[in-house]
Amino acid sequence: MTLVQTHDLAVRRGGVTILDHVSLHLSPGLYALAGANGAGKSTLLRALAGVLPVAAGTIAIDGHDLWREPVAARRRLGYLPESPELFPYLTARELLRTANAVRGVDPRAGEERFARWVRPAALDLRIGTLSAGQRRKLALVAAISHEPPVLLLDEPANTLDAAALTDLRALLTTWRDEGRAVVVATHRPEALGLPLDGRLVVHERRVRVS
Amino acid sequence: MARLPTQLQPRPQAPRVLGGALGRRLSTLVLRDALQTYGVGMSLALLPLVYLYREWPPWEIRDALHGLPPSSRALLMAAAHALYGVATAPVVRQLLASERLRWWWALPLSARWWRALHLRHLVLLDAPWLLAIAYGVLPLAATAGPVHTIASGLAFAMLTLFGQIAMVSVSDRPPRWALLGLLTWALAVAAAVLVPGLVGAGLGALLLAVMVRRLGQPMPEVGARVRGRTGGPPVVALARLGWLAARRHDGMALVWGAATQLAAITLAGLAIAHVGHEDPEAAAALRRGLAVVCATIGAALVLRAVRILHGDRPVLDTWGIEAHHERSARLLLAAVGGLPALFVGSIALAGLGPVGQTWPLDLLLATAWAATHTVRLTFSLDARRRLHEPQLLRQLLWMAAALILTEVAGTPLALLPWAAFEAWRMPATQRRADHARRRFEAAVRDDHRS
Repeated sequence: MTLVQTHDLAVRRGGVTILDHVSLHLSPGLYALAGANGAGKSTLLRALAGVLPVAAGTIAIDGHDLWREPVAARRRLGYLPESPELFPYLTARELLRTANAVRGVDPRAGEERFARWVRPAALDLRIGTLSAGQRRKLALVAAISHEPPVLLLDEPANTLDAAALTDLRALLTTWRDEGRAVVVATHRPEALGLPLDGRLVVHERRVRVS
Repeated sequence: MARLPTQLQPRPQAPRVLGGALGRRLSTLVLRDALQTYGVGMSLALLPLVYLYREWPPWEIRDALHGLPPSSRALLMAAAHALYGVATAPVVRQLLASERLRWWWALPLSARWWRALHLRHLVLLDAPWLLAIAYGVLPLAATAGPVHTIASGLAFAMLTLFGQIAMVSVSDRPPRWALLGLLTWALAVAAAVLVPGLVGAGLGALLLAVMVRRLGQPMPEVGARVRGRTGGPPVVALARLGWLAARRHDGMALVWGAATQLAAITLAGLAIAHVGHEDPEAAAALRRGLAVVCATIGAALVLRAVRILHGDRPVLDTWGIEAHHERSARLLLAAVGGLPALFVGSIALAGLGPVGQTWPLDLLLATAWAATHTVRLTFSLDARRRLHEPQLLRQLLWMAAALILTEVAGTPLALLPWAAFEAWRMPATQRRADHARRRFEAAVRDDHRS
């Protein structure tokens, strides 16, 4: 079963080709996405999440083309950006409930986890008043609250405290065993302490799978 | 989705209703963001229009346009659309491609939903422009009939939307692409003037259809490669940092600021030319008032730069910046904001006789006041954690006070004691800002640990 499939993917930013001829077939499992600074790890995740236009090629999430069937494809993925830019006027609860409503899942999903990772009162704080770490936790909770088959995480360990990291580690391990695909962009895969099934290395505009 | 045992099951829902509610919520957020970023600039840019309305009412402009030969009309219409495109480009970019909007692209929303949202935002932004187009084509009904009139109006409206989307869709490409987009837009508008209305509407519909299709995907990020000089003495380096931040993050606000100064000089110059010989005292009063207005608009540059750099404040604080260097850099930046008025005013007002020749001195004195006042304001707002709150009304009130003081005293020299008082208070206000920032950041760190 292939959960993430790309064919001849090319991504350009600022007139420069960052990724070219990227063809991937990811079955369920935990994958580390590695590469030098600026190699294109975040760009690959952004393209797979559908938040960045691609110059060429196709992306399919759990069998659904990301651009032809965007609703079906995006319902099946969760994405944590490296630096989440969220509207500061919403509260954490409003953001989670809106995202859950769009995805058609329980509106309260994720609230308990966010309250545990930060504190219950933070749910009703405006995002603009949260610290950078708390905003990242919120974006992470929003990415996993609908329990998607495909999860794309850009440096999830950054700014997470030990308790949240332990919680996330347990969750990802369970999800891997359940048959989901989790791609984690990181410079130090071993530091995550996750049972990896594969490694994607971005180098010279290509992606090598090992 | 049912393959995975612990996954939450999708609940039945009415997508249209949810889409409508979400659309309204997202629209509110996006428009609020745009207003917060560009509201002050837009207000300042629109102020001279009030005076323009008195000098050249819309019906006179419309009659003059319809009285021109088609080729001249085509040229003017193309230039007007291109100018409008350049002036609205940053707001359009914010509406279609802000980074805060990008996060929402990861949610399961259809391409049609995104297209409708973007088009709604563009139509809201362009509403006055579209009304002006409707008003402009109305006289055609008498000569060419209602079908031609409606088709012409639709052609210009569709070409406006096409041009705006096209400019954003090439924003990650080298500048020549944006120029090409602008030229295509202007040429299409010129063609729409010259061809029959239905053909123009067909052209507009074709071009707009291509761009509306493009709205179903996220817009590209802005091109990152730019060049700029850096370094120099600490004060110059810090002032340049603020300048680069304002120019690159909010370039159109700078253009608007300069354009407002130039428009004010043009209008005041016209008025001085009218009354200069008959009433030199009234002309001198106009010149002094103009200096205060231009200095206030110019000094607003420092407030904008400080706001943009605020996110990097923790990093800047680790550089060990001397307090007096920071004050001097902000004063320098505030003074730089008045340069367009200095250059253009010196040339434009010099030809108006003795009354225009003291313009540089008036502007210098007004800038001394505006710079010290605005720089102290930046520290004061930082100290009260209110740096990002809109300050337009407050600035206008202070400007009015300075205008009254100048006119009562009959010279902008009266502003110097005020400027000296601001300069005297500035170090203490800066210390309060530094103290408040350290306290706030410590609180955030403690909060994060908990």
